[in-house]
Amino acid sequence: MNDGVASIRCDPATWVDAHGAALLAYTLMRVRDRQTAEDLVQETFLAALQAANFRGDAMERTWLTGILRNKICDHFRRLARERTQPGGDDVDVVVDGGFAKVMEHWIKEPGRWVVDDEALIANREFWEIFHECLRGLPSRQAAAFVLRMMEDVAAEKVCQDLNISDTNLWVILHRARFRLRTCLEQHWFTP
Amino acid sequence: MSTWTSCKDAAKTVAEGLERELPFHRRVALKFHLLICSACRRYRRQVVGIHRLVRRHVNESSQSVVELDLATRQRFIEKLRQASVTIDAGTPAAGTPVIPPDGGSSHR
Repeated sequence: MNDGVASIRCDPATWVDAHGAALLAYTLMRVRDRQTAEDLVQETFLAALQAANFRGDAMERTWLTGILRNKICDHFRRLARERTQPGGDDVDVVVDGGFAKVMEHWIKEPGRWVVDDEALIANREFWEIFHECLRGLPSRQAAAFVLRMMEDVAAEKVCQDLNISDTNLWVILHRARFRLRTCLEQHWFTP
Repeated sequence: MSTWTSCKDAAKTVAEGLERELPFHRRVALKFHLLICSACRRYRRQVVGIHRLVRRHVNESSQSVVELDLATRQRFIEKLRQASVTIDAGTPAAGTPVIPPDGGSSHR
């Protein structure tokens, strides 16, 4: 038994106080549902407790985050598998409905706004809305977007995880981006 | 291959271009479309802007803070205590997977 695991057993409170808030923040960035996020952090602590290879101190956070990232990926894989989209994957009513049947021009053109990085990056209200929009995506789109864009998982890996082809992945990500942009326009940029 | 690109096609191509290197003919078709379509130019700028912002957000948000409320903290600690006892008793806690030596970072 090495020191790290010994310390978590003797004093779980220290561990929870040292890392709990940070791990929860990390998770909430990706998984908006508070209960699910807390469960994932809890599972991470338990897995850490079980692991025999803990190195201690400075590595603690990195190590825990590694475990947590796996948990988050599992979570999205499960979501994508459990819930199939109503109406199948051929059509996305929001995306396809955004264009006229004939000539396929915008039914409602994108508004006149630009993304101002400096104004938005630290703007809490903006990210609240962003996460609301993310949560509103169909589960497969959300899974693909979070794994690929936020967790930076390789495209082939995401395809495997979600059991889709690369062409599917491009379509799903396109739909996710389309919906996110529309949602942000409605709720933030031109409310 | 058609030389005409609809806004619907253009939107899809814009997103796909963020994922992979597009074939030459599609790049050209998009360029031409964007030349004549201000709506799609805005779409592209906004989608690329959001993409860039999210990447930054993910990279910079390690310092973000969340309150760990007392009840949650207590629940975490309690669960860990219980699990420690189970481990010390020699039976592995149910439902807790074994983590590979690299901390389970095989997703990279």
